[in-house]
Amino acid sequence: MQNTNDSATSMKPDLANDGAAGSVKADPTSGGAGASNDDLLRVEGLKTYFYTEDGIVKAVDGIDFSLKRGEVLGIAGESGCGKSVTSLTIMRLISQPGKIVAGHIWFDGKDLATATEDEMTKIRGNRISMIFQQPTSCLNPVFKVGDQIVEVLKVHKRMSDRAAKDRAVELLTMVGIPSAKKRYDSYPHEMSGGMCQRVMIAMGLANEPELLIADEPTTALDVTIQAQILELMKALKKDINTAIILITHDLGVMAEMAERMVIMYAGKVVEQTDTNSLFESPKHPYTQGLLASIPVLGQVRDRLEVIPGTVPSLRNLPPGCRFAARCPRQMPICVDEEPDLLKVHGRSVRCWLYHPAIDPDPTACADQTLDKLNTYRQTQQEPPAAAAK
Amino acid sequence: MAVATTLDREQIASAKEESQRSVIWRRFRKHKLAVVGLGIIGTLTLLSLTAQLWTPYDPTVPGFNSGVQAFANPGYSNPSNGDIYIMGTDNIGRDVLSRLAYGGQISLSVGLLCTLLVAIIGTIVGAISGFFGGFVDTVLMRIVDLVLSLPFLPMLLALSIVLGPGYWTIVIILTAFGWPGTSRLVRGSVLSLRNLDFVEATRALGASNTRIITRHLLPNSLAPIIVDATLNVGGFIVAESSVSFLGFGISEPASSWGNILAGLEDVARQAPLQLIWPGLLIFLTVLSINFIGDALRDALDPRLKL
Repeated sequence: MQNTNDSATSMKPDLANDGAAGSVKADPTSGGAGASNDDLLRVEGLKTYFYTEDGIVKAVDGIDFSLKRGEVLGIAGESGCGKSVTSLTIMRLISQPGKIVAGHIWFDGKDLATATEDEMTKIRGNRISMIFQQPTSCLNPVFKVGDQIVEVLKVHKRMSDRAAKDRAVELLTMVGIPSAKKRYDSYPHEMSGGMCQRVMIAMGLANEPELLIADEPTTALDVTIQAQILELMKALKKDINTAIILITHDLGVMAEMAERMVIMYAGKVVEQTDTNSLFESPKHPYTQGLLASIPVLGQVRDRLEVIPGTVPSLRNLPPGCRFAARCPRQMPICVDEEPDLLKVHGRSVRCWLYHPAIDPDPTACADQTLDKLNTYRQTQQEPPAAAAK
Repeated sequence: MAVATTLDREQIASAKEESQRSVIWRRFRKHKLAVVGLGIIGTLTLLSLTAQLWTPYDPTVPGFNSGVQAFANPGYSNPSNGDIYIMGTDNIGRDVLSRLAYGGQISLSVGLLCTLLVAIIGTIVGAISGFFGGFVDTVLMRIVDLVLSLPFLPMLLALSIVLGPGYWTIVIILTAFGWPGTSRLVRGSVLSLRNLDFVEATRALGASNTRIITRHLLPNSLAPIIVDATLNVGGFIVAESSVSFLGFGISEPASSWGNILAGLEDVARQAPLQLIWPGLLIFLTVLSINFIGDALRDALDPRLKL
């Protein structure tokens, strides 16, 4: 206990140095109205690698984002871009070949990346909860759903059996399960997927956590149930003021729920902004591609728009921009060097197109561009923070 | 599953445990053979436990001894004092019925006690091995391999000589050789369960390793454990009988079903049917317990629709 507290306080200055020297040039969060201390969660330079026999899989490779109390943050991206690993990393549920190799997860002033397992056990389900994609398989098949909620309550709080049971029934009612008292005695296999997801939400919210991580909570459900579950989460969020990290590849769900969005690609954040401006004017070509691939109601198309190609293998990442190979606006520099997360009009974008020294001209010669970039960097060397225009 | 809702509302909390038990009992009763088996086991246990009260003769003292020939057939009535031996006597004239009753105390308790111990040890070792994996798993499973590779009967005889024959020797030996099988079974079950989604979800809700194992993994592997345990009861009763039969187990004059069988072997030429008595009891016990185990497994698994 003592140790982790010490390291938590001593690590903050380190981190500031890291940020200045390393790739995190423009901290997307502290750039605003002074380093805001009301952030509930601040993820800084987080890297989670999996050390497999075939090499290192960089599933999460230096991501930064933050979340205020009561805020809904969406994390979107294609399959395999590190969304789920991010959420599991925050919960510290990464197992064997996986490891957090760098970065911090500041949760209410405490770094979860270095917290002990005992401390995490106290936080999980109590202050941070998580709900998963497959509600039916995430409930223990041999216990009544009510008893499973009671267990979550009693793990974290001293409660009498009676009180816990009453609270469980109350929770079941709260998540909109009809005749909750009767349903208390149901087993998971006696319930539909939507019902199970409601139970999962009830379990997740049982201890009124400050943060709820929802990892594709509606992906396994059909559309009408999906809408109900989203409505439910919205309503509950209002009631108990829980911050939510919503992970999904469904941008429609995002638009509905999230106040701010993080777009991830191949383990990195490529764009981060509030939802409205993201949908109005996506900056990163990847985000543009994602939005373009959503079919619009009433619009006649022969084929759906797709982003050609696939996410690069996380074992063997290209040296330049990870999206370069699929990018319609690829420039020579994109292949050679990876862009930083740049601040553009109050949002963060990881793309050379928005770099002040780069001429977004596809015909520009690579050498010339690099020279320009280097001179730009030299001039910027003196005041490093000025890069964020 | 339609439960009366009015009843439900009135007794939300207090009646729940009881209703769960009654659900299990209701499902158990659907296995008719298991109910019969339960009756048989119950009767045998009761008769054995109360042997002191009702058996007609002292099981250790040859009551009937008319000179040259000590053995008596079932239903023999002693002309000198009118003693009747319903199941006859063994080779030295002790009442078989009384000996069976007293022997039941030993045979049944050895079977049940060893099963219990084996289930406990095997489950603990198997759960730890399967859940943590890696080095712990390797070490534990090599120990299991070692024990399983030892030849059972010679080891058993050797050990019983070293420890001296007796009740606890038998229990210790049978347990020592019994747990590896169970632990492998539990390990396999835990191994297949531990990567399921609900385990991760439970962890995400703040459950510790101990809680995950005891509250989530083991209840899910209950079915194989029960089946294994019931098979073990029979196995241990038979094993105890064989060891006692060979003269290394429960030693005379105390009786167990095994050494009664051994005693009757001498008279098998004259009265082969005498061998049926202990054999029948062993057979009935083992069969009944297997039926009970089958029904228990089904009754305890909420996923099965009965």
